[in-house]
Amino acid sequence: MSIEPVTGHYLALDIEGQSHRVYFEEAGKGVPLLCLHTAGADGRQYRGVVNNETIASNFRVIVPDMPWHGKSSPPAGWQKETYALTTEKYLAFILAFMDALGLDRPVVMGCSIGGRVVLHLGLKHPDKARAVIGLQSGLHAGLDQNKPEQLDYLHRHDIHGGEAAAAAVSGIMAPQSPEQDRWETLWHYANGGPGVFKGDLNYYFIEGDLRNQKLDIDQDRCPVYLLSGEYDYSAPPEGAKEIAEQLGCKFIPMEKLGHFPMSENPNLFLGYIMPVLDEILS
Amino acid sequence: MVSDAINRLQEQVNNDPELMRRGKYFSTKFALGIDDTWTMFVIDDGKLVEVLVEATEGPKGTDFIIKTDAETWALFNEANPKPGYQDLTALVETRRARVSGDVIPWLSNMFYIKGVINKFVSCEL
Repeated sequence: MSIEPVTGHYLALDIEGQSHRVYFEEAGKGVPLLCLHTAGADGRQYRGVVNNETIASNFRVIVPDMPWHGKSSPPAGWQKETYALTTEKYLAFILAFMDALGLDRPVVMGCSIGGRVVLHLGLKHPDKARAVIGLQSGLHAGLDQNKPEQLDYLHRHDIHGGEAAAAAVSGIMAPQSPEQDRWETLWHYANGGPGVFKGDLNYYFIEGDLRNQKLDIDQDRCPVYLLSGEYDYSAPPEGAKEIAEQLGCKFIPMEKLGHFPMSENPNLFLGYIMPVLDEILS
Repeated sequence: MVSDAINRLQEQVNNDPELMRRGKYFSTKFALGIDDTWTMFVIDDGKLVEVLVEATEGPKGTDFIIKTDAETWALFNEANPKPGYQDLTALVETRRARVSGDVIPWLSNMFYIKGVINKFVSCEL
């Protein structure tokens, strides 16, 4: 038997005047490292990072479940609401969470929608983060899949949303990733609340599109690091490389990884992320 | 022999507990087109009851079809596929394959259909 060195807490969090019960896990001491999960999933994706002793010796790793996700509840009245994530709501949660925990300029790492929002964070609040790390970042997602009705199948009375969500993302991982970790990643998707994955994709495919914004993140105030798994067709490495060329920031392609690098193959991912964390510390 | 391969495919699908659990209440008829060669799959409560290779009527009478080209299919079948060829969804999302017709049975039973297609690949029909 072994008990992981990870503790979980519930936080009563006010986000734009609305009360939320937010769950987060943490481990380690040092520079705060805030980890943001992908759309329709939860913080379990970072189980390899939060359990890593080397990282925990230098960082206080903090992994929240966004409201509506994992063990975080939706706000009161959720049953009357159609959940749809927007840039404003996403940033409001991140800033409220950082303030509530008193995090002083954390390193903020996010994947997929998290990899997009760290760019929004760097653009709008460059002094709030010591550095941002975008995993599977892209200015936009997919080829031309930006019509809301194309996502309707994720929340229909006659389709099991969890099965559909898991199946939809099952091919976006590297075939070399361990079977157990791939299926654990899919389990997180199968656990999602009704309409939540679809609601997150509103930000990913539609509202959070960054193509029409000038990407002038002040890297003297907020350095940017981008890492991309080669098997991701939703946010392919070419997209992150293009951002890196615009920003003049570091871009690290990750072989034999896909859209969920920290979850589909935690050990392989650690080999890519630890040098980045070392560089930020130095 | 094609008939041997069809028998092998049916055996593999119908004796797979995971596919039988997923498909227990799923019935459909769909076709896979690789260039102009069509294979039709008839599913009844999860069992693969009929497979028609190079069906002369093409995709008629199916709920949905999956269409791709031979070059893409060959890359999809590789043991270590290149990025973009690793999964049926990858082919669809990168526009290398297309699903058309009534896509609801596909979207709501994707794990099952991918499972059948993967066994179809391994049987080298």
